[in-house]
Amino acid sequence: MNLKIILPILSLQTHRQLTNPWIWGTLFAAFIIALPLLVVFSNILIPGDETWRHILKNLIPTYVLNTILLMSGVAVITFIIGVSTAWLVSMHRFPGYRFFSWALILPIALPAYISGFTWAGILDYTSPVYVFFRNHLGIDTGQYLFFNILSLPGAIIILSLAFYPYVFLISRAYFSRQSSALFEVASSLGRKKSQIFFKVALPMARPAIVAGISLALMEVLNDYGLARYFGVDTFTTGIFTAWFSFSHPQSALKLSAYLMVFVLMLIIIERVQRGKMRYDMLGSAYRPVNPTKLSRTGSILAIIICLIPFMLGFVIPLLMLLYWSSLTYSYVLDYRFTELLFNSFLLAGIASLVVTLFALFIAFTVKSFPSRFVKFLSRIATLGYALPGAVVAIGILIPFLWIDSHFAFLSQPGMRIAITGTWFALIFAYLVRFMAVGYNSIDSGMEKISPSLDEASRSLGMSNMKTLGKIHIPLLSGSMVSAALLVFIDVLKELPLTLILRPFNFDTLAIRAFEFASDERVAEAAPASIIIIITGMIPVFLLNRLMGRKG
Amino acid sequence: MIRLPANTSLLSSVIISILLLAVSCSSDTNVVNIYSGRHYQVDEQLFREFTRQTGIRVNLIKADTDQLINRLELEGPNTPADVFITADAGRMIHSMEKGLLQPMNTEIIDQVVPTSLRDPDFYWTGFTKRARVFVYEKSRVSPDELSSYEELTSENWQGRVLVRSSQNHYNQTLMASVVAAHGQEGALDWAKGIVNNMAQPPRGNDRDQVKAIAAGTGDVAIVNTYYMGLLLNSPNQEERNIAQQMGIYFPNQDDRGTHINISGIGITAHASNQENAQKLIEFLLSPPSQMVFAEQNYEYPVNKDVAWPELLQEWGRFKSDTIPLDQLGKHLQPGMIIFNRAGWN
Repeated sequence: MNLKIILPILSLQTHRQLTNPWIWGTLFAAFIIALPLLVVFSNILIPGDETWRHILKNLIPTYVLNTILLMSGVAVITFIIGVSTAWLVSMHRFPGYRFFSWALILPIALPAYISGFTWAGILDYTSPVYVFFRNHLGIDTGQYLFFNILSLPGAIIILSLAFYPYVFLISRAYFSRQSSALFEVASSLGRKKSQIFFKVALPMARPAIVAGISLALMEVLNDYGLARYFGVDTFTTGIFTAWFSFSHPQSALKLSAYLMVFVLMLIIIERVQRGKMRYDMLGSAYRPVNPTKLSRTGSILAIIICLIPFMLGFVIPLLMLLYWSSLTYSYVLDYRFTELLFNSFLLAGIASLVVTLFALFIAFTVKSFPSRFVKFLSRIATLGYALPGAVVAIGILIPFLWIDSHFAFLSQPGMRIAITGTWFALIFAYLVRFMAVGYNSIDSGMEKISPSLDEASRSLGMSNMKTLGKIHIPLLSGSMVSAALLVFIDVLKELPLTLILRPFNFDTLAIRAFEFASDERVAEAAPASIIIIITGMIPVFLLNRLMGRKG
Repeated sequence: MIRLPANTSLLSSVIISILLLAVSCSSDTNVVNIYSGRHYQVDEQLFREFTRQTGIRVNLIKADTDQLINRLELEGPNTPADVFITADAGRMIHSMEKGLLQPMNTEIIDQVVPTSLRDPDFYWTGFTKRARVFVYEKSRVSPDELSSYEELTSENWQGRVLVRSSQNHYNQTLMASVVAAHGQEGALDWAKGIVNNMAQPPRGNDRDQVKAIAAGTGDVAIVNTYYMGLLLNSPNQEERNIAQQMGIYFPNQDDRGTHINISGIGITAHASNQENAQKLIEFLLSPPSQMVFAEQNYEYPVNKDVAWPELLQEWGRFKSDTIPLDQLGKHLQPGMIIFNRAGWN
């Protein structure tokens, strides 16, 4: 083991820390969550063979270039859409702001690959829209209406529309808890409004924006279905070329290990660049901001800015899916759909609770007992989000099957005892996969809580449990709810892990939609997709009611 | 010291219920457990029929074929799976080479399945087949112009050929059959020729290639018959319309025949319900099941004694490449490298 990793462990040497159950509990939890990822990571050490060298030499250069272009594009667009709309709805009043504050989250309920298939369906040669343009308006633009969507720019647009809600949600939570004191100081120093946004609000919101964009980019990195359909060869499609086309899972794991290094590097660069800046505020200084009322033209402009991502990311694809459903529901919907709905809902519900709790504990421990080792482990534990689910699945199967084989002696003929293929295995898999979603939301909220609050609480003799319960949880409730909500929706959409780790005869809505879509039957996939979207809308709606009542 | 929360009984009941969730105990003996890389409703319909006829319960996990191969490998002797199904001969051959399959009882399979569509030692057998054909726009292309996969590289087809990505399994076995026919150098020339004649870089799926013909992007596409069946029966009127404008041409009728691929099935090496697995396989090869695949899923039956439904009859009888599919296995990997070298992404 590397000396740099061992040293921080040794620096845990004060007596208080060594006997602290928080540290050990969290270390254990983070280690268990990180274990499948460490299994994947360990493949970096396995020497490459002929196939590996072929892939590395002939394929990876283009794949890396495409991935960087895709990530940059998505980063810029999600930043622009997410931050501008979050700033508008949280700091301004215009007709419809209340509606947009939750409607703008909705695109997240639409799985990105379904959105890709749907947009291709809207613009392709046989779509009712194109048929109308061609037959009635005489507009013929070739294979696709206006714009060849199966391309790199097409992929950037679809992925940005699917993932900007991460940036929106986390920065909105941040802006709406911004203290007015900051802006008053800025304007008393003679700053204009636009300057306040660029010089004060934006830099202060950096942890939130970075948390949102990094979630969006990790989603981009783990995407496989959409990139493959759009013919964009990314690093992740490269992982699957190695695995599925060359039948060489070792190379796939090795590439995944490099992907983890890449993501870790990005995180570290951002942290180093951020330096010793702190973003916390003392509770006493906190006063909610009075939103600005927009003028007439301002309101129209604001509505247009909010409408564009809402229409393109949600309404238009939803209409197309409804149209397809009207053609196919009669022979696609069957009695099993209630079972699918139940499975999806229950899995998503349990997973969102579990992930949020673990994320809360780990984030609290990192904050209360900062040591480099704890931080390192917590970072590793969030990397599962950047990897394709199918690769995470290998990392989970290896330790689980190892355990199963050591308990196989308990099994009798006709009675198998195993963890693999159970609900437990699935929930654990989601924990590994979606830790980042929970952790990033909660950690960015944690950044805002001044450490002096912790110190005050402890100096008054409060235990850690009480400090967490009385100080952090009330201040973090918004972040915790958005963490749970995001995980809920992510699990609802999740595919590759569920596919391979599920129990026999177990289906979810996402699986049903995928089976039709992968068979090139998008219209038949529409009813299941719509039920996913509606199910995903329920928590978005509830969350909004909850936050509305508080405000 | 670690202090336990006061409410220990709550904690222990939570732990116990988690442990109960964590362990799967199945005590049924009259079952057959399937890992399947096929995702069709028609399969499940036939499995239900199998249960109805035999009383054997079918347990099914469907996932990506390569994910399942990986899982079978990792599970080794502890696998719960008895039967493995893929929609591609290449993956079946891989699974056999990795020692994941065992020979089946030969009696019935030998009678109904042609030797080229199964493993010579009965480690796996095809149970449906599909042809990789040319689809062309009837008004722009005359079938007389078409002849073979090789001829698509001629100057006549400059900028007119549509085909999807090399990551597609059907293209990979097609390439393996070209390597088998012409060797690696010949196959590289062929792939370069096709890339040279492509109307656009490979993107989208098989259906999209046909739509691209309709839009005038290209004139001829390499497509799987199965997807033409889907288009002709699409819920979207416009898709049915364009499918009707298209002709289907079976290439290489004057030499080795049209490339076909199979959906394959085999019994896993460590199956615990071997007999039931054998029964299921024979059930799927029986004429009634074969008819269901042909009528509802537009796949060609492998059982020689089964009559073809109307749509398949209409497309016509054809000569198929009779190179035993098991011999394609060794050409798959070189084929992938050829794709990469030719720039067929």
